[in-house]
Amino acid sequence: MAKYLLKRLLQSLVVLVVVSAVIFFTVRLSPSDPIASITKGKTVTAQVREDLLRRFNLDKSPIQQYYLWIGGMLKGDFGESYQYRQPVSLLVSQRVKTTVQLAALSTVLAILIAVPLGIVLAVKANSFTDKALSIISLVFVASPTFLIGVIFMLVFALRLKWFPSMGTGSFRHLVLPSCAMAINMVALTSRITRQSMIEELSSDYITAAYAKGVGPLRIIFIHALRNAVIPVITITSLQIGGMLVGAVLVETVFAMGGLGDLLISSIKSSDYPVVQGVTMMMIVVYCALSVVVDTLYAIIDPRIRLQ
Amino acid sequence: MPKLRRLASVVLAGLMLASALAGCVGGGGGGGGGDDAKTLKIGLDSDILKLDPAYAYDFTTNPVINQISQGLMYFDQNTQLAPLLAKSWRVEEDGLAYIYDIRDDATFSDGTPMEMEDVVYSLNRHFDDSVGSLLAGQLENVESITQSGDWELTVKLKSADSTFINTLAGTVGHVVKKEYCEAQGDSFGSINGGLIGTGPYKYVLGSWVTGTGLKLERNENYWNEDDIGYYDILEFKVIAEETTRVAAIQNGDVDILTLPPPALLDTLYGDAKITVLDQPSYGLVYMAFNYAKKPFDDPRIHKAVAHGINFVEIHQTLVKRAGQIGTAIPGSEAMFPVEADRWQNYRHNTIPVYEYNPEKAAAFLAEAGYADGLEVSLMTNEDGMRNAICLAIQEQLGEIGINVTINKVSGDEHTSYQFGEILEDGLRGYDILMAGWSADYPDIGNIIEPLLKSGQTANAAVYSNPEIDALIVAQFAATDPIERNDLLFELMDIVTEELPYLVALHPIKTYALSNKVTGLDAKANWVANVHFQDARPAE
Repeated sequence: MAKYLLKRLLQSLVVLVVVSAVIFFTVRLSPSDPIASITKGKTVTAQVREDLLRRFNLDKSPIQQYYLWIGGMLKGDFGESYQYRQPVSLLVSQRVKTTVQLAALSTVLAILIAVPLGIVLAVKANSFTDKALSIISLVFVASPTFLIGVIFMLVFALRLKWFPSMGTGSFRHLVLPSCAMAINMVALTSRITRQSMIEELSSDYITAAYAKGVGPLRIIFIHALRNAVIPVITITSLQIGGMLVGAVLVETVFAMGGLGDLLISSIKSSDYPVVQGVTMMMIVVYCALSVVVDTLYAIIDPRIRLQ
Repeated sequence: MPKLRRLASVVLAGLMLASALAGCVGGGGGGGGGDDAKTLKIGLDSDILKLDPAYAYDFTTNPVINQISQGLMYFDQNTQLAPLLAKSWRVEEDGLAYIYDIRDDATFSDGTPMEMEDVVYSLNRHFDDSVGSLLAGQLENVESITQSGDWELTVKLKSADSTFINTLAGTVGHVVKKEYCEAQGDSFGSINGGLIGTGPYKYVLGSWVTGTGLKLERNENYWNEDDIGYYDILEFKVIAEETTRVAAIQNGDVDILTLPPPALLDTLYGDAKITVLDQPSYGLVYMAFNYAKKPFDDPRIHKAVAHGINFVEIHQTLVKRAGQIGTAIPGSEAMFPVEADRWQNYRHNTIPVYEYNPEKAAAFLAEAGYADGLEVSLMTNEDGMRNAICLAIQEQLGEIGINVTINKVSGDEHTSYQFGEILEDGLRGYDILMAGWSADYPDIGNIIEPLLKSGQTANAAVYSNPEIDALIVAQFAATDPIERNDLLFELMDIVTEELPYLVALHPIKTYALSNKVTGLDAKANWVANVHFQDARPAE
């Protein structure tokens, strides 16, 4: 098991190194002048320009800049934002809470709704309930989070006045954005749960269990669900990763100022250090998630470990 | 089933972690005032840049900074230039020195008195390259800023400039506490550093969460007893998304929007619970013809384009209440406060009118040698309204044989193009650039110098005319305002004939105010200052 984990960690490290280089050099393909981003297009003297170039290491070659960036990150220094002139780590630490809360709450919401729903749909496969709910979930899968967010805001904030329309600060502020994000996830996760439950329920070992006189609840929850849960975990982990990006839209709609919002505003203003820092952190989270999920598989299904 | 139990515990632990994270939502907020503190909530369209007057040069940072620090001069509620931290001022006869009597009774928000060394330090800070002030360019013509008496400050200029008096009314003339600024070093103006000024409000340390907003609280040590605001706390909220910004004021989550989205103005005007204040701004959205590229240095091409575009229709269908239609003068009526009537008459009766007239347009095009048509690249940024205008222009010019390709670039790339920082083969990479320019104060000098003088980075037309350059210098030096206007008329005679810039619109500056709040009036100079201390609840 330890050997398996070590292998996965090493793989992730390689991914991180490659990705860091890709991010660093892709960001620099932008034709805009970094000094213009730093000074917001205002005219500055040649001396100020020179000082800024030095301060942000822009007077060095891209390769040197890359080494400085990597070296800094290993020491916990992610550089200084062009637009705010403050440490990237400070900006990120201010923002990360909102995004984590949003992702966590919507994941919990989604799992709590999706898994039981999927089981019900599988047990009642091809009934009217199944078909009706399948159509509804198809609509939700297809709806962009952005749109759901706006609709929620117009209905539950503006019309019904149940929740604030924007901002952060209390649990009430989180409800609408989390639900908007969860809906998409519920739809997909419940479909996957249903699918794999149907497969398991029609397997021979289930028939055998029935023949042995095992009760239906025990068959569904103990035998079938255990085996059906692997694809569900896969899709959930992928979705949590995707949520960091999906959160961008919801954070923007509800003016929550999370990590995604920071990324978008930095891209718009060519704030390289922030774009690099945030993207790197997202990749680290993604890699960490996939290691965790692979480990979970191994715990659940020993066959994976042996391969 | 030990493995199943293990699985269950892993899942359970995950759920607990997630709910713990979600649970830590509460609390927060923090900073400033008790529960019954009177709070005014203001919606901003983007984040502020820094809590430092040297970086305050945009529609978002300025309204925040102006509550915290103050300048020697300011524009009052009636857009009149008035002294603030100075008691009075005078200009030496040669126009080369401005002398200010500084107030001896002003105090900083920490209770300490404002000293002359703070004033001298704050103004000279813009020359310190390590500060990287965005406003240094405004003091380019300044020779020195020194203390010339117990409470007297003298600003010496390199060449006479009759408009200089306006300059120190902007954030460039703001005073910060020297001792605090030096002690903070690099963290001055940051989230945990903030700034200390003499204004009616002060920054609540640590309350700025980038991308979300910040809080200011009442300055209990404010020196000006006649100017104390009703609200204890000003809470600024950043709401970048346009629909959300409008929903926020409709839902009562904010009381004021400083920059309501132009595309959604109809919604705001249509809401009985919201008042929209409007005032012409000091700006223009222009189309600059790139003189460095042939044939765009030919005024006949400019005239063909001008006659080929139906600006009346564009304003009726696209711009609506967000802007005023322009004339051949690159500046709105608000830019000519001296002899306003004479200027009105000049604007409406003297200068040529380039009305929509496809036949005239085609004739000019043929005269310039392009009877068979002309390929034009038109660059714009991502702004929705400008894009819509560009599409209309593309269609209208297409009818007279000018084939327009729209080149849409990102906001800051566009800025780089506008200031000549991106060159293609040594030339600015557009035939026509659609961009905006806004003056800092109501004086046309602040438009003609950057846009028309040879070699200026903001001169997007790369226009260069020795006669114009000489007139620009001469009008700045003119001490008599009437004489200065004569020179300006002479200058405009040439500009309206050569047409290096075509005015697409003069933006209307709007503010949306919830009916729960009153006391504020829209002023074009709100760029420099919104007097939030005048706001109070309605009823």
